Amino acid sequence: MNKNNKTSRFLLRIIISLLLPLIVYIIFKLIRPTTFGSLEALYIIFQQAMVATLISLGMLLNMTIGIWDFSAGAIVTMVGIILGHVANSFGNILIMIIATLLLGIVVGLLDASLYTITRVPSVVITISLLLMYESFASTYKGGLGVSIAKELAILGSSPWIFIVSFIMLSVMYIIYNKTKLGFGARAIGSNEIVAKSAGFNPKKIKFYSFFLAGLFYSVAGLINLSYGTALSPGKNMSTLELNFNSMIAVFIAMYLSKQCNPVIGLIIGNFTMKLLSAGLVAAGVPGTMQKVLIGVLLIFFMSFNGAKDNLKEKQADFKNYNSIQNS
Amino acid sequence: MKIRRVLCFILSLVLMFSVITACASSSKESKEESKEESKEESKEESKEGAKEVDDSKEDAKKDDSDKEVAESQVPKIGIIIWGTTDALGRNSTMMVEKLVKQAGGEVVIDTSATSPETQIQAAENLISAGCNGILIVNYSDQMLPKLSQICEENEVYWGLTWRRIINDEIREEVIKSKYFVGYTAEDEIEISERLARSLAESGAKEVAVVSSNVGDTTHDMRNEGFDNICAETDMERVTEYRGGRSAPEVMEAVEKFLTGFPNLDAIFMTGGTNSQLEGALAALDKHDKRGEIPIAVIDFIDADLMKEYLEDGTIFNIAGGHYVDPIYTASLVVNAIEGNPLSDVHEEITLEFIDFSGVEDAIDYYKYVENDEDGIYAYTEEELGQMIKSINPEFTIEELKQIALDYSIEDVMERHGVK
Repeated sequence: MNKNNKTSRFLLRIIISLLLPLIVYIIFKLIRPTTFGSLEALYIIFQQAMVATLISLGMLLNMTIGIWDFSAGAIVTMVGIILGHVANSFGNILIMIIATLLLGIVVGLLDASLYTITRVPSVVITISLLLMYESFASTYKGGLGVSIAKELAILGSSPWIFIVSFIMLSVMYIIYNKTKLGFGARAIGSNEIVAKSAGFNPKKIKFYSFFLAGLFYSVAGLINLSYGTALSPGKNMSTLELNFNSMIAVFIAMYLSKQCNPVIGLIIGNFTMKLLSAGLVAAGVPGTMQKVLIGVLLIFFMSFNGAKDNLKEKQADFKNYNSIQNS
Repeated sequence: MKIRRVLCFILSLVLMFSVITACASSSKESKEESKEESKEESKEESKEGAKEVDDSKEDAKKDDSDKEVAESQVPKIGIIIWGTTDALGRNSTMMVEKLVKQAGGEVVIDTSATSPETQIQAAENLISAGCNGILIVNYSDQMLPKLSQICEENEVYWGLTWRRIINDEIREEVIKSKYFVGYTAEDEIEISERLARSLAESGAKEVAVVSSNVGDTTHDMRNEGFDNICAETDMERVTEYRGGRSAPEVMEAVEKFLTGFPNLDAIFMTGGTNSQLEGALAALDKHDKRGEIPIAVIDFIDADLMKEYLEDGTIFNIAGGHYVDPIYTASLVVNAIEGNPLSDVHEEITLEFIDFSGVEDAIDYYKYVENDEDGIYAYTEEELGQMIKSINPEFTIEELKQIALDYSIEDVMERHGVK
């Protein structure tokens, strides 16, 4: 009986988790029944969701703690530009992968050190870093865009794009669910003072969280370059757009956190976002409206998560009040 | 805690020094400028004095007209442009630099502005940095009255490049200023119609459009041209993607076109800079649609890549070559600064895009018109010098307009003795 209950609960959780992409799919399938949502199209959309998922993975720990990171897009672009030049100079994927990891370490260390030492609010520091990275990419080797040969871009196409994403998802799954860092991040996200009294060191956890984000963004930079085979430096905060889609996916993952693990939620979130975007294109919605709808979605999930937190706090207050009354 | 204090101390020191050095360099600059200006003034005075001996009547007339226009100065031209990292931004500013150098002046480039408001700030910054002329690629018409007012107050000549003033009221207001010299622009609607028509004539019916966000006047006009042809023919804009800034973004968009519209006949791109065209081409490549779904696009890309895709018909028609536009506005501004305005009113200089429909055109273009490898461009330094009245006193506005009008691959080859 218990086993049956568990199985049905598990199935219900899966259904609820997949409800959001399913709704989006059904809406656009009804609008464009013949052209939208073929198996092949879904496969391509899933593939497109991988770069955004890698960026979201980098954001997950930071956003769980409550740190806003606006530098992700700039790091992805800057790393992509540098790797493009590395690819054209050495013509070797292995060297590109080594360079990706090295860049990830450098960027991660820089971000983490600056944030923890200066103690400037994350919004301010990450926007400053964004400007710095964008400027660097715009001046590095004359600031010209790069394009790489198809042979050097195999990591951006199937099956490699899935293999790399799977490895990174597994790494984050372990970190988030099985390590002290993951527990600490969640504890600080819930209540920093309580987390501190429970023995977690917020400063250390924030440092590692920023450091890991740099590594994940760097890998996203490699895949992003490999996927598009060409890249131009972004400037004047144009790289922020890369952040927003991934941020919405993190919000969706947090929203689904009761039903599924946030790491899995990220895939669902990013797939939903890409599905929505593909649906809007397929429906022939004007380009400006597409962005408006995505913005509305961001506000919806942000306010929903906010409302959920408020409700939780009020419920806790109510429980405390009742227990005091009873005693 | 200690580390934090030390870091804060170092940061504040760096900030203090940067402020001090910035002030020092700007004061140095202004001193040098005032020196130069006084030198120029004294030169002018001595020149005028000599002329007085020769012909007092003519001089009296000239004195009157000199009151109307600013005194002759060394041109220091500020360019407000989106960037200089792409081929168009880089080569166009480089050509202006070459022209201004011929006049013994210098160029300051500002690429920081991202909106009409920040373009106003950029203009103010350039003027306070000593610029006496401004070239701007304005993001909207609405900022022009304010810019005109600032330039008028500071006696700075200015002109537009790649842009014309569409709003009638604003145009009326701006052209009243004697400091507004005019603009250089292609007929965006015409080129867009030309490219769209070529697609329609090839049998395209369902076309997806990649464009910039609504509000960018150039892209709005290109969209208008495309829509005009759609209205005339049975071609249709079935979907669109706007605001892409990189290859991966456009690649994703084109993949969505391909999956959402299996009967898609062609893609129309109102701009291909910032690797956007490369992204679209990579998507077609990935899905084995090379040559099957043609692209018509404005803005040239890397020569080798363009030749390759022109050859198999993936790039069906491409227009560009407009890196020369700022040269003509710069000529108007420089001559006005030097006290030899080419015209008493604002001038509208128009020219045509160069469009390729074959590989041969591309080969010639990149060999003779925009050859970065060998440093060969549409105009030699000598030719640019001839557009300045202080070097070529016979130069007229009609000649400048004709130079712009004649601009083509054949014209460049002929002038440079290749044909």
